[in-house]
Amino acid sequence: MTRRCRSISLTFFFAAVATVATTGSYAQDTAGTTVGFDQVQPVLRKRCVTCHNIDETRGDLDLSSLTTTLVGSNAGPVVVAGKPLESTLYTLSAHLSEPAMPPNSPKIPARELDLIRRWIEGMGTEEKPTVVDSETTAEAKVESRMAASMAPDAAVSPTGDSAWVSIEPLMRQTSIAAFAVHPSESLLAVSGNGQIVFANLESGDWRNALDFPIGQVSKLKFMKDGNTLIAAGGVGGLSGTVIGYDLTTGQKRFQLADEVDSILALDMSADGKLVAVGGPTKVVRVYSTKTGEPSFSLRNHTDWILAVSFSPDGLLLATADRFGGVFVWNAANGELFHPLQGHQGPVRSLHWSDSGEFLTTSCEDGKLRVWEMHHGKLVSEREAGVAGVLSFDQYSAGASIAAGRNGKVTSWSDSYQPLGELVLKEQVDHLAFTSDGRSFVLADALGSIAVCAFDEMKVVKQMAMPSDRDRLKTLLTNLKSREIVDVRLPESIDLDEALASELNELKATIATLSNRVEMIERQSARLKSMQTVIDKGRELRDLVSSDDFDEESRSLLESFLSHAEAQVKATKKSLMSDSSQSQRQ
Amino acid sequence: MSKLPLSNRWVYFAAAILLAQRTLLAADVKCESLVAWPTEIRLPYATDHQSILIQAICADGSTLDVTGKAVWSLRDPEIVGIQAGVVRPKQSGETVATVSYQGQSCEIKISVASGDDERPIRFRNDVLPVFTRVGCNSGKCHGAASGKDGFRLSLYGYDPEGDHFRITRELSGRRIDLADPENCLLVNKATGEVPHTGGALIDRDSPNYRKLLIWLAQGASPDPSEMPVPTKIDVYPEKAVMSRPGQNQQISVFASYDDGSTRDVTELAVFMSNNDAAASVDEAGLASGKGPGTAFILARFDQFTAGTAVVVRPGSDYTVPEFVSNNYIDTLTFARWTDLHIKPSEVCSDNEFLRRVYLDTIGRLPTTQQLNDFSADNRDNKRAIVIDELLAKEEFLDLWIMKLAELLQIRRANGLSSKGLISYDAWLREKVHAGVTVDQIVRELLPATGSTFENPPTSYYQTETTPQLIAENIAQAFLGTRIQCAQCHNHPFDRWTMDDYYGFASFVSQVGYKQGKDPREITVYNTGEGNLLHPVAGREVRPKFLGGDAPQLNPGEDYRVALADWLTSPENQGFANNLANVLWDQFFGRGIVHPVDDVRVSNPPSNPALIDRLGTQLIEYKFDIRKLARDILNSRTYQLSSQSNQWNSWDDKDFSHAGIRRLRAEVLLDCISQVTSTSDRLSGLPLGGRAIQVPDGDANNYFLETFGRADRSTPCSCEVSTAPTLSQALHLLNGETTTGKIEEGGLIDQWLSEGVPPMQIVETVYMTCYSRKPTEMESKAIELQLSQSKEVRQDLVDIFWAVLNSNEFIFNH
Repeated sequence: MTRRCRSISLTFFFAAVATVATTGSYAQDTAGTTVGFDQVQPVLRKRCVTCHNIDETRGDLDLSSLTTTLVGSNAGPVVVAGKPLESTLYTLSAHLSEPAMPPNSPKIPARELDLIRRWIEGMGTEEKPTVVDSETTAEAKVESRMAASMAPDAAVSPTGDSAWVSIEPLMRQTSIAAFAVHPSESLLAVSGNGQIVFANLESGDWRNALDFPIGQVSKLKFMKDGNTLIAAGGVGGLSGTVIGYDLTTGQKRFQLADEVDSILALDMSADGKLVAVGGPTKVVRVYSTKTGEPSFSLRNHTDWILAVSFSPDGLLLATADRFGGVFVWNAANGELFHPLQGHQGPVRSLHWSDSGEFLTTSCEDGKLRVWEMHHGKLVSEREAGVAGVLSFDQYSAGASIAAGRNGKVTSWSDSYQPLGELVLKEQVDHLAFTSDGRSFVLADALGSIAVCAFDEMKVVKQMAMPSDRDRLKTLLTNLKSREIVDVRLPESIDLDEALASELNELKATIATLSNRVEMIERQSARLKSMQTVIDKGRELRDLVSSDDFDEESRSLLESFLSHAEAQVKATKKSLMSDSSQSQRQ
Repeated sequence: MSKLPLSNRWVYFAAAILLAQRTLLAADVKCESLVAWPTEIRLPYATDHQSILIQAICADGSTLDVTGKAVWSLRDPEIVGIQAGVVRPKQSGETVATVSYQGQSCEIKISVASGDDERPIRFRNDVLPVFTRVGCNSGKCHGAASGKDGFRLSLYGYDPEGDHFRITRELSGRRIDLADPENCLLVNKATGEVPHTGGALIDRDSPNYRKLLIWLAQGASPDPSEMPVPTKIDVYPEKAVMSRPGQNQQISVFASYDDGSTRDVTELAVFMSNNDAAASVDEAGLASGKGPGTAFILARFDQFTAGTAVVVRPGSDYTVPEFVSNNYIDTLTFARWTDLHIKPSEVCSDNEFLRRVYLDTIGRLPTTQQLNDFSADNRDNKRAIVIDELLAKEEFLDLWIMKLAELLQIRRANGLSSKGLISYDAWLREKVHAGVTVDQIVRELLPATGSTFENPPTSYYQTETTPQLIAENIAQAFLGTRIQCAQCHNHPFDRWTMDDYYGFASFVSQVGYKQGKDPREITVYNTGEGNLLHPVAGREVRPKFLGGDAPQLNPGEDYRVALADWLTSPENQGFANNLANVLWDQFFGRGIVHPVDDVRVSNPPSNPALIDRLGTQLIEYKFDIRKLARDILNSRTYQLSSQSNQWNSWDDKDFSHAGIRRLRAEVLLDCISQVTSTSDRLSGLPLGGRAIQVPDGDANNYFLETFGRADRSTPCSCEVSTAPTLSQALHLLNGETTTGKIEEGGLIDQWLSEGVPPMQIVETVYMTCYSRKPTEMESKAIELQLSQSKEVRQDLVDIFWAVLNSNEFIFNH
């Protein structure tokens, strides 16, 4: 569980460290009033930097650092201190003005917008000018990086001596992203869960680990000096960074690179001055380990960078991509030296001869190609016999091994004569000679590691990273405890609605009927009173028969009575018909 | 005091009355029967569930989704639980659910096989449908041919093994991480945790998420080879008829697997409507009636697309109108109209009829004399007599030949020489005029071998030369089916798979070509060897009829013979239906399946019974096109007015009023020439030949091209265009065809010199062009104008010009 939190929540740890020196003055979010750039940067990173970064500056805008953010775009500044409503960074993200950002996506969450707004608002309350001189920023950035890299990391090294930690067992075996064999010792390094995990190849014991601070480790390489390990890692699709470790102490020597996706290709020059990285951004960036800043970027590739390699003398840099593009560059200034054309698939590995005169490329088209460096010509091309070469290694004496998609490993003499083969069940992702060249280590797509004898071409030792199936069980139980299938109630069940409308109809009818009841009641009351009048009149008529009244009064009374009776009759009739009508209804 | 109880009593009385009244009202649309889908269910796993749809069928033919309103009862409530029509297992056993609604009831047999087992989550059967449902593998995202942002999936998951490979193996360590499945790239991208061009598609609280996660946590293994795979899907209800817009109907999808099991896959399927104006459908499969009309609701699951029709009635009081059927066609269209609550238009007037039937059958306008004779004719069956006369004319066959030539793509292309073209055209013309029926023509055409000069139908194999293109053309021309999609991936909206495509193309995979002695001549022969390879599986594909069986064929045998025999066989209703539909389209301007060459699961016929009947009839008539044409033209449906009424104004596909359609290019040119008394010099024809007889589809003619003649480069019905363009309007206004032809024909001058009074000239122009006399208002206006005119001749020319430019002239109505 802790591991899981780490990989996401620590994602921006280093970005934060890098910028804290410049933004510290207003990075006081203790009361929740002021927001620092360190809090905003993760938001920009996640939502904006894919298109607005150092390589891909849409609208000439780079939002990957504070400095470049303050520089703004080709339409001017995107941030106006203290005035979020005048800052396009905010108004476009908040969809207050056009074009809405990020394009074709829903508005970013309110909490994140709020951070941007508060950051811009807070800038205005500062007395000092908020636009920091860019040179100072760059320097401060480098300093902070160096500081971070030089200082002992308290989190992983409580004693101050050693950064070595114990191995965190895996939930289950998985394909190994990064894999390296030490050049002079029996030592294997592979990517673990947020760790670099070390094993003794002789004993097959899993020794210890170094924590990697961001996401997962994607690439490892031991340097020839035997004392330096470089590791690339990050969160896929989001970040990539490189850390150089001192193998005697496990301490960080340096950290550099702030990529927007995983680093899939990594190398350091033999003199330790330059580090080249590449990945899905299709850009190869060469960093100076001294400043931590990019020296130059190479943009000729049209697909993901899969391999970079400095020549042993450090003069040349070879780079290869997933489309089959391979280039050799002057490592000092990034000038193109040779394009090496003819690869028909992803080129997975680049291997220099000790003299630096020849470069061997291995390609998923199944071929191994050897190029000479004087003219950049192809000197030999042969089938590796493994159907899609994923990995290739050559021992300094010249013997080599190749492995690929079909689980085959082939071995070759120094003159590239096929020697033998080994057939495994799974695709072999990684392959490397051990320090004595008598055996090699491989890792397959399921994460199994095997030490094999070169001469006999057979597996001599199987190794698997420590694992803890209980965590897996917990995860599965959690997942299954929730319903796997949500079945929606058919919406045709509008029972409530149906009931409500039925009730309304009933009410309306009741209202009509009670109106009618009232009317009938009124009429029967009237009928009653009329009947009384008639009765009185009858009494009166009986009286007038005594001749006390004249004829005129008598006939008046008669006509009144007959009229009243007719009225009563009519009312009764109407009442009767009313009620029968109601009954019919 | 006595008032209160009295008043209460009244309320009870009222309530009693009211209830009685409601029952009475309900009786008007009383539920007559109750249908359940499915009627028998089996639940093999404890985690399974099955939804049941209950539909009430009312007396007026409308239906109601009463799944939630009906009363459910279980014989043994210990076996399963039912909530809102969804059955979930409790323990092993069998029981029966009884559903009742308004006095009707039905039963569903339920059996639970095992009360404990969980259904295993498999890649193809459970995970891939999630990707399809949220859109990962759609054509504009990772399903694009080259993928998206470096990650490719097969379009709508036609290649499950390839997709499994790309997710788990292609870039080991990047896309999935079994040691941390909740935070791997695949999950982070899908949930929008990291920047993703497609946005956040799966919610971490959703069943989709849990399914994906469980699969990952269980190792993301490839599917076992013995796993049951889907063989078809069924979409229910079979039909829904909403009595008014605003009603809802849940749609269910059931998949059948090759081990005989079935499964409710409603929440794994993707839904779409082919007519949102009539009924839309949401992602859970709930169809909502929007307006009058028919919508076909489609569901896609795995490799299958199937659908169900939802009819939405306008919702106003409808009484079945009086309608006298002339023949079987009218019976079937009328049944359809009453289903949809449509009232057909009145029968059109004699003049309207005559103009329409002349244009549709012979591509000409009736003359004044013919109009007058027809008016004067008092016989009851005069329309039938005229129809027979017209169908007997050669020009009727000329129009039909033009249609066939479009299907056979007779044009000068791909090295087909003038000589080859003329003999090809002459062959077709000769055959049709000699009374050879289409099935015979196809049986002669498809297996044709020999020299293109000596046996002209071999030219069919010169227009296209690759088996794939030839097979696509055959399917489109003779079955009205577009199989092109399936060349590279299974058809996303139809049933055709790559196996079907290559199986069909294999029939023409052994066509060989030899150069003849004359450089313009090619010899087509059967090589008797070589089969197509399946591009994904890499194996040889054996010939298989499209939607039919794989025939037993001997090596060396000409596969095309078998193809032609199957295609034209009376058992192959698709061939006959397609021909009948092409003919129907000629007379109505719209196919029953529309467009005519897009027969597709997701584009069903507007009146399935009608198209099947017409096809059957054509088979019975032994493909004699004249006989079927006679039936159609004699139907009252054909003879309806184009004037719509309030009961059919919204209908645009059920032929309840005549369509208004622009004359196709060739007919329009012929008509202009006819009324102006001029003739044209057309490519490949003597002076005075008719545009409908031009043999070469690729011949240059500005007028015909502008008005959308088919250049026959494909057999697509879309090649004939009657869509308006600006150049058409400008050409009629300013071009040579109108002004030039009026002058060239010199009719106005001739009439004036004969001393015909100007108003009579106007009347003649109206009669020849519009098949009617000017209305009183028109006469008055024109008379006034002419009486004040100093240039009577010019004014008459202008009137003629205006008539030729009017929609009434260039449209058939």
